Order: sequence, then C-alpha cells, then structure tokens
Amino acid sequence: MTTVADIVRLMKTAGIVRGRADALIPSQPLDQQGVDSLDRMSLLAEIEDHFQVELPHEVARSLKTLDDIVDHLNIRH
Amino acid sequence: MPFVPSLHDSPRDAVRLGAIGIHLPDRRDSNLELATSLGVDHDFLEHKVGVLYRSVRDVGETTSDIAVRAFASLQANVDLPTERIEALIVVTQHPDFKVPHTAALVHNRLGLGGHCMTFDISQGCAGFTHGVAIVTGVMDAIGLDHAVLITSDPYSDKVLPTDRDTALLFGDAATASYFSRRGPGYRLVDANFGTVPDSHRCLLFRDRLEMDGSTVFKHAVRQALPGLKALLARNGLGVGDIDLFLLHQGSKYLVEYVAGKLGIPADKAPYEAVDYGNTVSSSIPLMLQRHVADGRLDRIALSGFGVGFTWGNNLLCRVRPET
Repeated sequence: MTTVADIVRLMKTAGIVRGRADALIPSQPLDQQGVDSLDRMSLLAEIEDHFQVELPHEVARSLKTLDDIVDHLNIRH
Repeated sequence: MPFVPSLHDSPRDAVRLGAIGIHLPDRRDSNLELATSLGVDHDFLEHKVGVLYRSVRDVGETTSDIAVRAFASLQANVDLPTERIEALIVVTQHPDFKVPHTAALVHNRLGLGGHCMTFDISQGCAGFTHGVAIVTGVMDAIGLDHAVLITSDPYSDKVLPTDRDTALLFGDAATASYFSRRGPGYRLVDANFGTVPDSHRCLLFRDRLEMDGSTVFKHAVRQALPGLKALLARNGLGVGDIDLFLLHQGSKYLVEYVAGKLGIPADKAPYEAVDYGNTVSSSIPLMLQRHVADGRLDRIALSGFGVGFTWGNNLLCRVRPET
C-alpha cells in the first residue's frame, strides 16, 4: 500500500521542492503549497517511473493533493 | 566482364560540419515586467523558465532576412566557396511565403549558383538534428562536397503576449552550418528519430502558437530521453564517454531535469538561453558553434525535441585535420 511518506520520499530523491517536501500538508492542493507546475510535472513523471503506471492527462489534472495521488495509486493497485 | 566502379565507389572523405555562423538580434526584450503582468513570480522565471530576456528581430525582418544574416556570419568565420555550394537547406516552419520555399529566396539573395539544390525542412525544435542527418545523407548519396544548413524560425510575433504558456519562452535567431569534406570538423556518426503517435496537438499553430506544456514535458522525458540513451547504448557508449550534451533549450527546468535523469553533470549539459530564449531549431547550433570552432571535444551528443511531437538525436565525433 502506498503512503504519503512514499510520495514525499520520492520527491526528496528526485530533488522536487528541495527541503520543503516534509512540510507539505497531504490534504491541501500542491499548487497552494509552493509546488509549481514544473515541479508537478516532474513529480508525476517520477510517480509513473517508480510505480510503473500511466497517468493520462485527465487523471494527472485531477490529482491535486498528495492524498489524491496516494488514493489513486492504491485504488489502481 | 571487367569490374567498372560507379562514381560512388571511389573513396571520399567523410562529410563533416566545419563551421557555424549565428545571428542573434541585438534587441532584447526583458521578461521581468511581462512575467509580473502574467502573474509569474521572478523566482520561477529565473530558475524554472530560465529566460530573462528574449531576442527579438527588427520589425519587418523576415525568416529569409535573418537567414541571410546568419550566412553572412558564417562567411566571416570560414573561407566559404559560395560558388561551389551544391545544397542549401533551410529549416523553418515560418517561411516568408507558402510558395516558394524559403531556401530558394535565400539562394537568390546570396547569389548562389544554378547547380545548387534548395529545399526547406518543416521541423521545429528537433529541426537541426533532422537537418544534420538529411544533409549528411544527401551529400553521401549523391556525392556533394559543399552544403549549407540554415535554421531560421522566428517566433517573437507568433505568440500571444498574454499567453503565459508561451509569451516568456521564445526568442528569434538564425544559424548557418557549413558541411564539406575537408579540414577539421565534426562528422555524424549515428542518429535516431521518432514521432509520438497522435501527439500533434501539444504544439499547434493556428493564428498563434498554442502549447500544452505538461504534454511536451512528458514526451520529452518519455520519448526523447530514452532515445538518447538508446543512441549511446547502440554505439557502446555511456554518458561518461560523451564530452558534451547539447539539449534543446526548451526551458532551464527541462534541460536540468533531462540531464539529471541521464546522470549528466551540469557542466556537460549547459543551459545557455537565459539572455535570448528558446530559439526553436536554432537552439542547438547556437551552442554548438563555439565548440565546432574550438575543435577540442571528441564526442558531442545533440538532442532536439518539440513540435510533432518529434525528437531527434545526433552523435557527432571530431574529425581531426589530418584525416
């Protein structure tokens, strides 16, 4: 089962939002916590690589929070 | 029956890229105020977009005008036998006219000879890598000795100033690359290319350029990047065997991300477009120019990706003067 901690670890490994990943609030939209559009793109690319999943455009757009991402990954697997 | 060799059986020296001329307009438009008006903060502009100034051609200057300027720069750098140029190719998606091709206009303005082949290549940010392969292939196939490849695709007036996806990115430039069979230079050793099926909408020009940045990013990471890895692998090379990677300067973030994923040290995959922007098919030759002139590096890898969505990678190796 994927957890928020797994996603945060992935962000830290990939250098996304350097130094701020631990402070992200899982239920709040990432774009309201300083995660810009380019960070978000690379996060989704890292998730696709790491979890071997495809995140189509419409799905990717709907994943606004860390909780959304975790829920989506757990429902799919 | 005696063996009669064809003309092409005679040994010929390898085609090489010997010199590049560049034209970067003097005018620079600052992105700082524009970013503010578009709601883009300066930290994002500087560290992610990576374009503080955009190069802008003079009002009324056409694609062929800046192509001619790039050619003049090439002439200033190398002893160019203009009367012997047998092929002139222009990479552009913004020709002066739909008919004729821009290469014919440039050919006329340069006063080149009647024996010179001319055609345009309709390609975007992967245009230079396509052009290098096409020029080398044509020269090899029919035995040409002198050819010039021009990139000229000005975008400064092709984007909507209020479109935050594109307004901060693009700059104008043109380049002219000289290919011959003599002297020092870089020869094309291998190349690979691809087009992502059903992906053409991510960069689309109707009355202005429309860009779906997240899809462009995804295709660059998912398609161009594995393509570059595959090109090195099939030549028995690793990242450490390449002296320099010149990646299309789509944005600072994209260059750094792709380089990071490949494990390329930052100094081997430079980002240089901060003062002029994404110049489409000119972005790679603008950077390559001084390295071709220096001639110190043995192996250079080029990676272009964009409109199509298409990608193209070139592996270049130095040709030493004595060979």
